[in-house]
Amino acid sequence: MRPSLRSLTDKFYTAFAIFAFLILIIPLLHIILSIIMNGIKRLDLELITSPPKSLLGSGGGILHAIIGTAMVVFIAMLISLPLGFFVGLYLAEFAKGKFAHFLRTLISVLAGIPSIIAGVFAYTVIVVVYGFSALAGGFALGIIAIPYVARSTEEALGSVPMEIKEAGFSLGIERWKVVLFIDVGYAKSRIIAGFLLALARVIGETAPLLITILGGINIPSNIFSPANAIPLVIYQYALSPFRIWHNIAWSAALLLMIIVLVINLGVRYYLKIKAIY
Amino acid sequence: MIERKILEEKIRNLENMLLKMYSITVRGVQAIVDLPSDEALKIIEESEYSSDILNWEIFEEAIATIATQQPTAKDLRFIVMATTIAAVHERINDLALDIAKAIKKIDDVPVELKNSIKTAVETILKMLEVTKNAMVAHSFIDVHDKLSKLDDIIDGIFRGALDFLEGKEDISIRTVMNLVMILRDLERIGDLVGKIGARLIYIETGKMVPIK
Amino acid sequence: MVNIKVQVEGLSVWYRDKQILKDIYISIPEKKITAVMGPSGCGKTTFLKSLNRLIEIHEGFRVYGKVLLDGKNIYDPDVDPMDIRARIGMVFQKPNPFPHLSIYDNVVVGLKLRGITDKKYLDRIVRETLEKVGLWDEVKDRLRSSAAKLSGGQQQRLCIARALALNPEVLLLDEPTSALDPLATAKIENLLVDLKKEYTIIIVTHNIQQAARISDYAAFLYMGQLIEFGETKDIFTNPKNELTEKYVEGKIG
Repeated sequence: MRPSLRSLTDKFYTAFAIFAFLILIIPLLHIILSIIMNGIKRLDLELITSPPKSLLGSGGGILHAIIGTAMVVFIAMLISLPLGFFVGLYLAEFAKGKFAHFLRTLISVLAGIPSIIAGVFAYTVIVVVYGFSALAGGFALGIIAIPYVARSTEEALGSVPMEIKEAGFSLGIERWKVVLFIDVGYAKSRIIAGFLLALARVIGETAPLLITILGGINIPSNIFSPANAIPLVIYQYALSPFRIWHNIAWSAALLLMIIVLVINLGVRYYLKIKAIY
Repeated sequence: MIERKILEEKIRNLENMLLKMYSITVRGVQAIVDLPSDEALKIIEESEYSSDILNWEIFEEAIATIATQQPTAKDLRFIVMATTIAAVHERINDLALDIAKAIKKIDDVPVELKNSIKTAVETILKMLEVTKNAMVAHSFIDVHDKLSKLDDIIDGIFRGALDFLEGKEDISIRTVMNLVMILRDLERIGDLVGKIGARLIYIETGKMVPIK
Repeated sequence: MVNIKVQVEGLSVWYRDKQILKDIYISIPEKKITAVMGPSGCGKTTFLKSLNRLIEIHEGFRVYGKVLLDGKNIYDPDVDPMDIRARIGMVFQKPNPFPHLSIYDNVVVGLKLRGITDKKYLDRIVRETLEKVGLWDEVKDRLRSSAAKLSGGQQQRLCIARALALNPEVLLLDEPTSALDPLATAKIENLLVDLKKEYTIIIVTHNIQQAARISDYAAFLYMGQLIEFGETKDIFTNPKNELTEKYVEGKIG
């Protein structure tokens, strides 16, 4: 009698785990497959290379949004990578006691801010002064990215084994040199992976862009001009009444999904070949 | 092949010490022929003293080498046998001194016996040379045969001398007693050099082959 | 006559509230190999790291007493610890070449980071030190490849080269062969016997046979105290202290 009950319980839990997995994976698969099936139609060269055409014709692309995304992400990285890197570096290597605790709390708070709030902040700081611009969008995304960069940098540097640090010190060099050249050198690939993952994280942010870049049809001439971005244009076209635009929206979504997938897989592969240690 | 530099250096050092011991012994034994001169006695006394000290030095070097280098196989056999060979040399020099003291006590040694003693000493020196050459050249092929034959010669001299003394009439008992001790000691030295040969063979082959 | 290179006087080291080393006095002779042995936890690694002030990079350690290098206390306030660490090089238990650097760069990283950039000089140092450690022939065709691709024994020899590139006077080694196979171990032991012609070598080892094989002087540490110090052959054939005797006989530790 007893063994039978135990194996029954075991089977039940296994079944339950599989069931939970399916509940999770089925919607995910559904989303992915929908995007692929609907988006493949307009995933062509024109999508990527041409700006929007007039509504009445077919065709047209999202070149303006692609350029806009590139600008916005570039600015976001310009802000978040150095800042996040040095905060992460400081927390991993130099922080002691109260100030470190304060800084970590700050980073946590920043990580928890809803992205729209970052957008509002960027509005009050940048848009009010320079108007709707790629700069404002980049600023907002930068704020969102900072905690990701800081945390991954801190973790990467924390993974440097003590024996590497000791070897660094026994070369007879200053502490900052050991940190900057030895520790960072050792953790380089993990740090870069952190950068790329932060990039992948913010490339799809939509909410803050709503109130910072405006999202028109123009190709931005510089960082101070209004711009559009891929997630934003998906939002706009999806909500529009035009089927042509719906098609483009699906394709843009597929494009974005592919970009994020490539970055993520690229990071994994990069870490695999670099981290032989 | 991995060099074990320190061990090899220590083994070479022991070889050199054994060679030094060999030359001390040769010097002492050679001087027996020139007895009862004072110089000869002095040489034999010095040899006995130096061989005693060198024996201890070889012993200390050997145990230090064993303790620190963990030698095995032939290296180990050599190091351990080096101590016993040194001890044998020290015994030989002891016996040479005994002989010197005994000769000093008598002055009517018959000419025939003087010759016997001389021949015995020469034979012993030949035996010693056999052992030295074997150690230097690391070649032990005919050590056993050569040493056995030479040892037999000494045994023959000893027995012949005893026969001679038995027949002699005009000779004091004291002289006879001392001569017997001297001849006995020479015969013992021959045996001891044979032992050295046996130990050298053991180093090379790992087998104990007595030389009689 | 033997010169004393490193003189340790009254060295006591505390970690938090625990005393690791207790009042150690020892004179390390120049250009000899001195082995420091003792059972696990006796403080040998702490002792070694106190000799080049590496102990200071770890939180919680307090060092009292003096360590005199050529007569000058390395813990004096006017002494630069980085200078000491270049003069007293260190090799660790687990070979730790920098895996993100090439073999060439591993050798010269110390020099570069200390401001020496003359390429001809660096090239020469790379060749000289790799030859000294017996690696040159094995790696001369792949100096730019990653150091992580070398075998354990080669990596450890590279670490020795890395330390030698800084032209130290003393070389500290913390159980340098305990992670290596017997062949690699033998190569490194031979290397150390060669190197002592130029450098003063202090090696911590828990392998007493190794200490017996290669060292000229040996120190026996037990529970943070120096029990005995003397010529290796004396320590192993006739130690003065009963505890030392038990240790070398293999009955404790």
